[in-house]
Amino acid sequence: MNKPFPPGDILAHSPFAAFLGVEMDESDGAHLYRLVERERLVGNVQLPALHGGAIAAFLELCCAAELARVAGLHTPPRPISINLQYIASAGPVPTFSKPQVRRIGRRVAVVHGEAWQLGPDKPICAAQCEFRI
Amino acid sequence: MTSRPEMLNRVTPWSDALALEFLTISSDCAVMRQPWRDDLAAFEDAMLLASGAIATLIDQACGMAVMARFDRQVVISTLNLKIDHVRPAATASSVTVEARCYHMTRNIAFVRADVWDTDPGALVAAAQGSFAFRRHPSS
Repeated sequence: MNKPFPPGDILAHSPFAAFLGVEMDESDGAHLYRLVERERLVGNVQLPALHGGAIAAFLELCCAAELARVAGLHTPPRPISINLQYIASAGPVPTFSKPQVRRIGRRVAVVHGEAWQLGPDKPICAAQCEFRI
Repeated sequence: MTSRPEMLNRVTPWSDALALEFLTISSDCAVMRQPWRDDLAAFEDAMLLASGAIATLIDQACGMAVMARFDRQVVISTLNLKIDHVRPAATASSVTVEARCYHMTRNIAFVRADVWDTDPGALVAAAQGSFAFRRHPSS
């Protein structure tokens, strides 16, 4: 069903990632994922604040992409569970994440990711994800 | 089932961008649907709805289930959300969520949600979350 693709290239082959607006930067040697600022990502126009679902989707995509890169996967990892903790309200500005792959087993991998806007020390949301690989 | 047009008229850009459909709402329960769209596919050449789109559907419906408990507008923020992806949705299929606010305290609401593609008895995903709410500034 899924055509093999170069590892780490998940985002470039995901229509949903393009619709959401997720990009990866490798410029500083590290892998930094970015959710581009877009009006359509807002969930509450009065505050205004990003939609919790958009933040969840961003973190899950980053975690999957980082896992595929680190583990050299040629097919997309399938999510088993995702556990999200919303730490602070997120404004309509760019959002970043540097997910960490915690364990790669034979069938299951564990990835943690935090999203931030003003700085990595001010997280807005944390995600624990398990993937089938 | 009561219809609450004022909820439907609320502007939520991200759920509008995904074209989420509001099916029914009762006193503690909201049912919504994400129609299939090619640009919501998880990966090209695989007509599989992205799990991130399912996460949005769940979060939105959970918020609506909390709102259903009130006669006035409230501001709702997600505290936590746990989503189990039980199995992949059928190819190029819409998915439906039923979210139920099963308990509330003064400031916190607890919600469960089930997601299916064709058969409500065969779940695609299940979720549980807690949500904080406060009175809307304009109400």
